[in-house]
Amino acid sequence: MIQVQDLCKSYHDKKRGTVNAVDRISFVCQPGEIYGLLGPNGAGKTTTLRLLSTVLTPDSGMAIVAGHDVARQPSLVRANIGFLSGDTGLYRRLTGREILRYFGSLYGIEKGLLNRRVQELSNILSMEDFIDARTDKLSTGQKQRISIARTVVHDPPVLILDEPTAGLDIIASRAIMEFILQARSTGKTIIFSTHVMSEAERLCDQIGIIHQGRMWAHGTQADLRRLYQCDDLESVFVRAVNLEPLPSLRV
Amino acid sequence: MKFVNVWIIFRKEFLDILRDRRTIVSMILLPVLFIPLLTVGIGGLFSSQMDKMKERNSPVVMLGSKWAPELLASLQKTPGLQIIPEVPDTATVLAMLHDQTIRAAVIVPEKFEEIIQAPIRMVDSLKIRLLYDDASVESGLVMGKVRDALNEYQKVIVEHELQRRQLHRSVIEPFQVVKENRASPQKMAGAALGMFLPYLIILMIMASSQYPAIDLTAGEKERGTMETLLVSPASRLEIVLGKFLTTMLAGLISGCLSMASMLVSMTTGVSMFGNGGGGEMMFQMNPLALGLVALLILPVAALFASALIAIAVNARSYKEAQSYVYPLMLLIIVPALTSMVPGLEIDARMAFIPVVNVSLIIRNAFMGQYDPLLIALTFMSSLIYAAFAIFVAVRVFQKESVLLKT
Ligand SMILES: Nc1ncnc2c1ncn2[C@@H]1O[C@H](COP(=O)(O)OP(=O)(O)OP(=O)(O)O)[C@@H](O)[C@H]1O
Ligand SMILES: [Mg+2]
Repeated sequence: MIQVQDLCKSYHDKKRGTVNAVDRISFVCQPGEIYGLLGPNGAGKTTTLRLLSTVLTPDSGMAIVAGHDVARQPSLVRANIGFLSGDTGLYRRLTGREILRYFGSLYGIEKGLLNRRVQELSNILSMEDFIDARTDKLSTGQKQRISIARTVVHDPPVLILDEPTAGLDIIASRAIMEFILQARSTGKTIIFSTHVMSEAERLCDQIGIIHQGRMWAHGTQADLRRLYQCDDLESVFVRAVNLEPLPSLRV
Repeated sequence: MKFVNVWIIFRKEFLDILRDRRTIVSMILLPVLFIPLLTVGIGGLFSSQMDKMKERNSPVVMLGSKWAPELLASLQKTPGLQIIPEVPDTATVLAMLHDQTIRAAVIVPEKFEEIIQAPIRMVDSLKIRLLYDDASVESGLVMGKVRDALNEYQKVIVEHELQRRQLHRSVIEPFQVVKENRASPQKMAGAALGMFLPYLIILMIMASSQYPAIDLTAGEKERGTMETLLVSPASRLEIVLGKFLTTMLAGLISGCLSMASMLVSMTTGVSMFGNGGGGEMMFQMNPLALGLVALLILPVAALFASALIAIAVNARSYKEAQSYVYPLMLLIIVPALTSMVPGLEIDARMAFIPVVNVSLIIRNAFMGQYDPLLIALTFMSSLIYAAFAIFVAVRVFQKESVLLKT
C-alpha cells in the first residue's frame, strides 16, 4: 500500500528561484490497484515518484510505502519496491543475467534462490535467447524486458513506474501494459505516471491529475468523467488542467 | 553500512570496467607497452644517435695551418675529424660555425711552430683559439676531440723539451689527480630511475583511475543506470565506497604494472640509462625500495580515486566529466615532476605536501636513502589527505541534486 499525505518538495533553481515541484499532494493506493498519475510536462510526476522511491527526501509531509516511512526507513522502503522509468538504462557491458544477479544480490536474495528466480523470469518474459548477451547488443524491446525483470527480481509488493512506456513502440508498450495488469492480478500495489491517455484509460483504477505540483483532481475514471461531464479521459484531463483544482476532490 | 553490499558493488563495477577498452588501455596496455617504449626506445634512440655522432667525421676548420704543419698532420690523423686546412679569414670561420657547415675551428697564431720549436723562447705562452658552439651536442663532442689532440701535441713538445734539459716530469707535474667514481652502478641506476619512476608511476595511477571514476559516476548518470542503483537497497555510502575501491584498484594495478615494466626494461639494460646496452648500470631490484613504493602509492591512489569521483559525479555526461577532470591531470603533473628537480630534498615540512612528498620519498628510496621519520610523516599525511578526499566524495554523493540528471 502507498499512503501519501501533504507531501512537499521544492527545488532551488538559480534562474527560476524556488520551484514547488510537489506541493501538498495526498493520495492512497491499495494493493491490487493501479494508480495513474497524469499531468503535463513539468507537473511533478517524476518528483513524486522519486520521493516515493526515496531517491529524493521530502521537505515536509509523509509517505508510507509498503508499511515503511520514506523519510525514516528509506532502505526498508527500497527493499520493497520495484522501480522502472522510461529512461532507465542497463549496464551495457554486462549480460542480462549478470544484471539480474547483481540487483538480486543487493536485495540479499540467497544465491540458489536467485538463480532459480532469474531462470523463472527468463521463462516468463521469454528472454532465453538473449539473457546471456551483453545488453548493448540488444534491441530496445529486449532491453525493456530485462529492465522489467530487474524491477521484479525481488518480487516487491509495490511497483513504482515512471512513464515506463516512453520511447517504446506499440508492441513493446503493450508488453509493459500486460506486465502491469499481470502484476495487479497478483495483488501488487502499482503507481505509474504517463502522458498517454489510452494507457491510463485501459489500466488505471484510480487516477490523479497533477499540475504545477498540485493534485488537481482525483478519483476513479467514472468519478472524473461524471465530475467534468466528459466521455473520455483526454477531455477530462484537458478540462481539469484548464480549471482550478477542485476543492471537493482534494483530500 | 553493510560491507557485503560494498563488496557486491565493487565486484560488479570491477567486472564492468574490465570489459571497457579504455580502462584496459590505460590500466594495462599503457604501463606495459608505453613505459618500455619510452625507456628502451627513447634511450636506445638517444644512445644510437650519440654513437652516430661520435663516429661521424665532423668538419673542422684550421685557420693558419701553414704556420703549424706538424699540428695539422696530427689533427688530420685524429679519427672523427675532417680538417679543412684553409679558409679566407676569421669572419668566414664564424659564419661557417654559425650555419653549422663546420663544428669547430682552430685558429693558430702566426709562425706558431717556428716559435714553439725555437731553442730559446722569447715570448709568453702562445694562444691557440678553439671555437665551438656549446648549444650543439655534436660541436661539444668535436671540441673535446680537438682539445685532446691539441693536448697530446703539447705533451710531445713538453716531453721533448724536458729530455733536452734532462729534467724529470714531476718538475712540471708535481702531482696528478685521479678521479674515482665511488657511486655503485646500483646507485647510479637508482638515481636515474628515481628521477623518472615517481613521476611515471604517479601519472599512470592518475591516468588509469580517470576512466573508471568517470565511467562509474557521470557515465552511469548519462546511461540512466544510476537511478536504478539508487533505488536498490544499497545505501549511498555503500555505493560510493564500492565505486571508490574499484577506481583505486585500477590506479594501483597500473601503478604496480608501471613499476614492474620499468624495472624489467631497466634490467634488460638496453635503456637510456644503460648507455645503449652496457651491463655496468644494471639496476638491482631492491625489495625494500619496492615495498616502500607499494606502500606509498596506496594513499596516492586513494586520494586520486576519491578526488576524481567527487569531481566527475557532478557532471551530467562522460564528456563533461572529462573536461572537469582534465585540469586535475595537469595539476598533478607539477607535484609529480618534483622528483626530477635536481637538488630538491624532502624535509619535514615538505612531507606534508601531497604528491610531492611521495614523489620525493620514492626517489630517495631508489637512491638507497631511507629516513624513517620522513617516510612515516609522508605516509601519515598522505593517509590523512586520502581520508579527507574520501569524506568529501561521500558528502558529494549524499547531495541529491548531484545524482539525478535533470
Ligand atoms: N533537479 C531539479 N532542479 C530544479 N528543478 C527541477 C529539478 N527536477 C525537476 N525540477 C522542476 O520541478 C518541476 C517538476 O518536475 P518533474 O520532473 O517532477 O515533472 P514531470 O511531471 O515528471 O514532467 P515530465 O512529464 O516532463 O517528465 C519542473 O518544473 C521541473 O523543472
Ligand atoms: Mg517525468
